[in-house]
Amino acid sequence: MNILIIILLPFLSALLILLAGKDYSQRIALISAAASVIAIGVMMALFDKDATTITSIDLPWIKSMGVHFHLGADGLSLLMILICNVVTLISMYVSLGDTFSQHRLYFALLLLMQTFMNGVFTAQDLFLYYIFWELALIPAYFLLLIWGKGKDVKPATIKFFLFTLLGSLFMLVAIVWLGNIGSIADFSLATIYGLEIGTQEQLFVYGAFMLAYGIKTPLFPFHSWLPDTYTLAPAPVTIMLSGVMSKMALYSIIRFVLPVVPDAVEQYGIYVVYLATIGVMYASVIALTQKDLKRMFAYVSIAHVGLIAAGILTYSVLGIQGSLIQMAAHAINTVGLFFIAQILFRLKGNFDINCFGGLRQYMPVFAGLYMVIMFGSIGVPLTNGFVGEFIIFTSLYRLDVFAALIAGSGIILGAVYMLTSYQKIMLGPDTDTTLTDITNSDKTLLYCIACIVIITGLYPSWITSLCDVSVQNIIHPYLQK
Amino acid sequence: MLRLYFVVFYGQERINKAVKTHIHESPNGMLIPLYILAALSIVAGIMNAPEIFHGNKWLENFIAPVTVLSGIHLDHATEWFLMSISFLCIVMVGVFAYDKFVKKGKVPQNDEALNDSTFSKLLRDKFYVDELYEMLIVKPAYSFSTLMSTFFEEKIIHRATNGAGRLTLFLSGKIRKTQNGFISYYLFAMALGVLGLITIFILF
Repeated sequence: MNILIIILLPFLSALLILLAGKDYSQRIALISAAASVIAIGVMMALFDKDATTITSIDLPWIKSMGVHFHLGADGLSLLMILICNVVTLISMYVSLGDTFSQHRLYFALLLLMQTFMNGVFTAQDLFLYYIFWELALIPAYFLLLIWGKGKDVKPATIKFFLFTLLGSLFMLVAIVWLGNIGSIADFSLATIYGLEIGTQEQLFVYGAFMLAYGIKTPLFPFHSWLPDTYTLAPAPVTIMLSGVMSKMALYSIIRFVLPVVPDAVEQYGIYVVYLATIGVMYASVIALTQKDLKRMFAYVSIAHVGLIAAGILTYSVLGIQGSLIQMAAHAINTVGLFFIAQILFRLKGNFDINCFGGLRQYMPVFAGLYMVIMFGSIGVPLTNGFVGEFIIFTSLYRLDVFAALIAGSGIILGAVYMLTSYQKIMLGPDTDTTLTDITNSDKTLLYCIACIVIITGLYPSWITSLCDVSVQNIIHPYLQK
Repeated sequence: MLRLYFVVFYGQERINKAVKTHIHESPNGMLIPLYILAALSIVAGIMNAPEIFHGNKWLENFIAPVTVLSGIHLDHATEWFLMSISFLCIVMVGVFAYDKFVKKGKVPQNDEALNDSTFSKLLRDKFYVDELYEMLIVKPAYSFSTLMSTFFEEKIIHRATNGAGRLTLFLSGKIRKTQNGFISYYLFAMALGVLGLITIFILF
């Protein structure tokens, strides 16, 4: 199956929504998102795990600059596209529960965001990658600005946009430099991977790339845009941002930083590992006293992506494999948590943890499903969060015991704040007897998420076997040098 | 344990009449698991019976990797001595509890009504481990979290980011004023610039 379909399907659907009548927008969006999931499913089924890349399209685009419209996907890309498409489908489904003004524009923007993020995961040309990377920011900006809630939406949106753009500009400089090292300008990944770059220059490229990815992931102390953005965005947009957009940066570290500047990672990677693990601890400490549930989940997300980044920068097969499992786990768990926050918001009209109590008596099914997803997020054995976390810890421990210790304490705190908030919301006395259990459509989605949490926990090896060749290709050239 | 056993099963009866009519032997659903547990508790004891009783060290062999490092071997005299001491202690406590709660029929007071020595208070409050844990770990963790979120996160991290934006706006407000539209000002600025460049070229 042609990889182009992954980009074209949501893009054309977005155009169709803008042209079609008002009544059809929801249906088109949902069908398109479901079709995208089916498409990636078929692609994965047909994928030959030993093949390195399925290159399906390579057209010269801007000849004078040596830029190609070159798309392709290996196991790593397929995993990321799967995450992106599943999370988009969930986001569409969650959107059905609320009414949005100008919903044609709303659904079109969500689909465009999916298009560009899929572009990031499939681009085989560094320049094309950068274009997709920046394009993905634009729908996010409008989704946040138009449908965000609260009086601080405008400043928060501008902060989010400018902050992430600032980082990306440094990356642009590095990309232009990388593309012009040879006698002719060439941005194709194969050429860039083959470049012999001096240690000094590697450090410069490493710094520029990591600034962009550090802000987008985000790593401590570049995270200040995240809590406001996640809290003020409408739930489906928060789901897209936390589920997929943070993975864009983590994927890019694996795809571009590790193979292009291996010496710099070898020498200076440990500093970013420290920064990331301190971030895990820091975000967990702050989450401990948050009263706003959505804000707390935002800090939980910072802690988890910090751990994933640390795993990647251990620069070992083990660390990267663990991080990939954890990326898939984080995408599902964080989406589940933000959906739970949205359900609770619909009940009482705010996210204040102290407003709730004793909900378990009235919503037993919801309580059970919330618990499964929470366990996944904490990383309890047999849930999806455990395997990745365990592997990352092992790789961190081999690299540096101290880093493993810091990250470990953060994870322990994770259990504390998650269980405490669950206890406050779900257990104890409550006087509000008018509540009933959640609707069947909400239940269906939570059941699906809980099933993925458990199935991936029991059988995580599909991720490692899917990405094994890609990871070996990224790590091996360096080991052979 | 012996205190508990004697007070509950042999001690003075304190049940009111209404409750008394309901009391009966436990159903099989509870008795059978208890039989099994009782049998297993004896088996567990025999599994690693001391050497003097020709014990086989089944348990020790089973968990060998864990115990291999200890390598302690006691002679028979020490084994007898240790066993006698612990057995004697149990018998003494049993006799004391039987005497106090069964023979003399003493009923233990409620905890609230108790006005007893420091030692039993220490025991009743579990050596204050919970309070120590609360004081040494839980409270500092929460205070640290509050400090980090109200001071470091708000005053330093957020201010640094927002400050960068404010600084840009502030500088733009100041520098914007140089673009006042008067050609004479621009000419003056250009002349200053040329003068400056010439000075630099002459000096260096």
